[in-house]
Amino acid sequence: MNRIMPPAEGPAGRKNGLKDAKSRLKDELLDGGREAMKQRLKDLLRGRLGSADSTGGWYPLSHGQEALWFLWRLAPGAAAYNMALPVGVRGPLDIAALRRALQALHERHPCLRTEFREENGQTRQRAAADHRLALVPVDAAGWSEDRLREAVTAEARRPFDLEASAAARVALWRNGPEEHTLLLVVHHIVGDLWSLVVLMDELRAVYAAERDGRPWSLPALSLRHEDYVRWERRTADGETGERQARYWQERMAGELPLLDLPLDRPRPPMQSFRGATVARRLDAPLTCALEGLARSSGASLYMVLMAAYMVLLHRFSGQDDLVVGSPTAGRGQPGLPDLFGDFVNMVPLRADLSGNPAFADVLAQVRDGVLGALNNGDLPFSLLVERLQPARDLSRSPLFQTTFVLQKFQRYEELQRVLLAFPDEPAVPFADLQLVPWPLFAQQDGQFDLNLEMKKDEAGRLAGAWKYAADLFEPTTVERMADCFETLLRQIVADPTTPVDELSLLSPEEAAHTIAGGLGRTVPPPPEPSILALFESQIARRGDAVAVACGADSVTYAELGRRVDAVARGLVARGMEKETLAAVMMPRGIDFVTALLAVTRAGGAFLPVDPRTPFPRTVRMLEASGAPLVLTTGALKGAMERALADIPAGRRPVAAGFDELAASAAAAVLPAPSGGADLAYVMYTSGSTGQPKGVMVEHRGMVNHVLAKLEDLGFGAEDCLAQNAPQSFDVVVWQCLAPLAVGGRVAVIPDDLAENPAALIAEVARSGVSALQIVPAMMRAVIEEADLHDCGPPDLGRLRWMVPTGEALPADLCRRWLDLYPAIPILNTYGSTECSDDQCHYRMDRLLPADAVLPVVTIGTPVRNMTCHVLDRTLSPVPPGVVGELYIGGIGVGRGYRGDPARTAAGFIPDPFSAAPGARLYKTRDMARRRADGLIDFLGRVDHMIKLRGQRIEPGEIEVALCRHPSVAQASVQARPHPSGERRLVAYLVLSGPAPETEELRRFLAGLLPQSMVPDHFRAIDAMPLTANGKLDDKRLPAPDWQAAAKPFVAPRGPVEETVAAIWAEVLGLERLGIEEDYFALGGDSIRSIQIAARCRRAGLTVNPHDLFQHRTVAALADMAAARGATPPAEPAGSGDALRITAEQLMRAVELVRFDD
Amino acid sequence: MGQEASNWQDGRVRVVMNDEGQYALWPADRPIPAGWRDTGKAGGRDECLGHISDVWQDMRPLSIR
Repeated sequence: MNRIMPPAEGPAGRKNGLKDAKSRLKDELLDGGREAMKQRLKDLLRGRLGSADSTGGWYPLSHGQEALWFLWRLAPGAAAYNMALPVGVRGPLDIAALRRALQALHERHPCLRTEFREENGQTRQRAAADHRLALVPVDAAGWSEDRLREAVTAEARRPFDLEASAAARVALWRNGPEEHTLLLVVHHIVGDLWSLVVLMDELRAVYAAERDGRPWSLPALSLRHEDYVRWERRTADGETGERQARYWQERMAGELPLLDLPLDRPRPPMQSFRGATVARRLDAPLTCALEGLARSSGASLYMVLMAAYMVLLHRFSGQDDLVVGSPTAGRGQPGLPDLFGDFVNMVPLRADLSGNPAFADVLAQVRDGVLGALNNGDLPFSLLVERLQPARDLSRSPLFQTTFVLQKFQRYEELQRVLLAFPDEPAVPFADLQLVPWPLFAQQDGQFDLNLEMKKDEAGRLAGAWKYAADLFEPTTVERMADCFETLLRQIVADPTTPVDELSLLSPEEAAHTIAGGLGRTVPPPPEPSILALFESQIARRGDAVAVACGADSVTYAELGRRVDAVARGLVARGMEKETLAAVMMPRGIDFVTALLAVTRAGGAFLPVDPRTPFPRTVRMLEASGAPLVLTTGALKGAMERALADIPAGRRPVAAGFDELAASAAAAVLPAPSGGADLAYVMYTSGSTGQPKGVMVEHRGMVNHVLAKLEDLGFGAEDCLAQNAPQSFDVVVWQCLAPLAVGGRVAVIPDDLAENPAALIAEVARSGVSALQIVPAMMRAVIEEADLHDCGPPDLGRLRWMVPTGEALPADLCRRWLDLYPAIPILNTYGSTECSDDQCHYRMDRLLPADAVLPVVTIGTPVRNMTCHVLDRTLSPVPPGVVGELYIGGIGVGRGYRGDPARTAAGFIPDPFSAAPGARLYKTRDMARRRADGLIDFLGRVDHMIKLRGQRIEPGEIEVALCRHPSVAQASVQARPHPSGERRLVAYLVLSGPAPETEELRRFLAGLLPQSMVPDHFRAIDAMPLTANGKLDDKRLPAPDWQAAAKPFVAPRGPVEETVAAIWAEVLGLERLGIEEDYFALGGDSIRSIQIAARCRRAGLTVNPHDLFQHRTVAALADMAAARGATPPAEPAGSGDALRITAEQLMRAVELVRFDD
Repeated sequence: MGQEASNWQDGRVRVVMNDEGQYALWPADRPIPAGWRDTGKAGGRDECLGHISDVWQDMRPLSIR
């Protein structure tokens, strides 16, 4: 709810072609004005003007003021609605004259001395009589610039107590005889930016007269604020209001989007309003070109900039449906332009950028939207919000989360240099003095995620102040957005017909820089083209060392080499040659490792198959792969042969027993060693369409990945790697073979131990494993197992690396691991099977603050000889912070999908960023963004991302929050269809304690997450269904039972619920309501929450307005109030005199504090 | 960026080939990267992929055939 910006050229400023709308509007306003004048005459006749009337001068708040009052009650300590005008005053300032002039204006403008009173949930206001303005200069001689800025900032941000003091104040610092600093601070509830211009314009005239001892006069004010409030209420309640409401309901129909810009920090559950500003100027030629584009498009400069701003938001958020707020002056009636008061109104402008429209089309949409807003801008924003009933969420502002304005001052135009001060602004004349701008002074804190406030300066340059929520963004991120905006504008003026998704966000230099940031380290490949060759070179050095161990069995390097050769000869005798694919369907163990190496030795490629996979599925896979040979054990061979009989004879693979081959002593000649470009292995991965894909990996990619792993783990001859992954998981390859490249040891952990956390821990310690790779679900099980040990975490022997794999890694898991085992760092890994296992590594010795920003840990940076680019829909790099699709290039990019040229050609595309001609780039279908520090965040699959109400929801974030609940062991959040047709969030829980009530879980989550992320339905299940690889099998989660989740009528239980329910019913105008019904579903809103809170307090219950947002049912609110205990009865509202005294005491107190500085 | 909604492969693409005889899709309106050449086939994604399925029978890179 920002309402500070003046009208300028908002929807109120328009050009030719808009005359009709303009004259219509004018008539309306004149009508309104006439109405107001008539009413005022009537009032005069009734003698009801002046402070002596029956109401004591008290009158209601305007709708805008009511909203601001609510926000003030919500966060009385926030400075979000303080408008501050700090300015250096150069010249012989006559302080007494300034004081007299300020006092005179104080008397002229009642809003400067308005007092507020809340009674029975109704807020009223009146102008205090005899209010004296305090202006006591603070001696600031010799102060450093920093000290002065600090003092001014503190004074500017000091919250107003609207119930106790006036909502405007002035401060003056005396820096030297002819150097002063003046600060005006006004709470937005009594004035807008236009008001400050009025005040300063009048002040310069009155000051000059007072200084000279001349009499002065200002034109009489023909309207009072009170008249405006009456007019506004009449208009809103009348036919005009009804017509305008209908217009907005139509414009804002359907699901309203929540702006989803990439954030640097997690969104706090409640807005804090802390703001900061980034300033940018556009050069005069660009400004001129933009004006030219506006002229030739029959639009205004404001519309062109608004459309471009929407394109920027579209590109950064990925959202097509955008709503941007824009202020209108609200001062159309005669008399209003001269008043000090809050009249500005916000209107939402909406555009649809789906389908990659041309910029010119977006501009046309914006132009129509502005015209419509112009005709319908009288409806107060707060009424609009009430009408539209957007979903309430205390972490966001309603309707829109960003605003755009192009400032243009109607009078005292030079003052813009002070009110929206950019660096190097010239001073502004003020009587015989000069006002020196305070550049980039944060005029107010951020009420929105992002605001863009622009103006055109005297040099004909557009200047933009990017005001942002400091809770959410780093300054560099906003600076980058501002740079991108300029890049967009330059392309737009060059060709406004360019489709918006094809506009680049980066200049060619920035794009090249971004691409360079996606390159892993370049390391020359080793002379050995395969892991087999690396293993063979270790045989000579470490022939007697153990190469592979499994339980009590082990094999040395020399022995393993002999067995590999023997089996390889057997394979060659069976017809294996270069590129022949052999399925290896054997239990994991020494023989399995031997088989993989033997296939390579015989020149072929292996396809690992888990013998536990149901045979029919294996047979289908074998048939699809075209493998002519299945290497298996003697025990499995017969059954396999029977299963293979389903395949037609010509294509049927031959099954061969491993022992048989090893013992055959075939005399076959082994082929020349495989080269780097030869096929190493094929892995079948599940495709999104359900049809498995056979991924082909070449030796050079496999070698590069293995060496990257060994290097990043510092893994050497003394180390031991656990081989615990099943054959169907691509990590099985490096687990089986990597240690053999450096003389290390493979410890095969059999399935029964690998799948049992306690047994796995024991086996890791027993077999001296130095690196363990497990999926996050197993990591959690291991941590929970370790937590059960009373006397400290169990001994893990020589373990020195935890290597999570397979899915996004929750940060809380890392924190728990590193708490338990601070000496065992984590290597987070990310990769596509298509590009030879992993392509990104991230080492974590402890959890840094940056690691906890997202609920899942970064995947780090590309490994050696690999590249990772985050690209937009047109294959252009996106700036840091912007979400795009991850594309992978480098030596590890595999050959493609076996027997599937179409999928291969779609997924493996030319690498336009590679120095190697003909290189390919893999399209991962994973969403990612590169952070400003270069690390990559994995944000889920393109196809698994949950999007609700246009908002990207990371289920992981909700899951992590749920797991913090003491009764929740595991959680999975899914978007599932609701009978209403829309998707809702469903949380599946595995409980470890007493089953919590749904309401308790909601309340618990509401403390951790924005409302939009609190699931609608919770369902406890016995265990998470897992796939063969230990990943969640979400298709096997039960369907939610919506019927059971619906809220039946539940009558109040006990006196507290009865009281709360009665108050709700009264305020909401309902006959009865169930204690489980949602406040907002019942029609509650922010204004009514004040009334409810006031009545609850009178009934002795401690309830604040914002409690209604977090405890949204009678039951929850009553619970909360009961837990909080009784409150002392509300104090009787103070009389006007009491208020005045308090205000003056406060002023004095402030001055004392200032002198103490 | 909502790739599920729109993507360069939803627009007009062309079929390109590198020196290893590997086929790929590439946006029709973008310059073809070094080491790749136009095969002359262009159109919608599915049409181009269908064409590739027909012509790319031996998926082994040329250098190892």
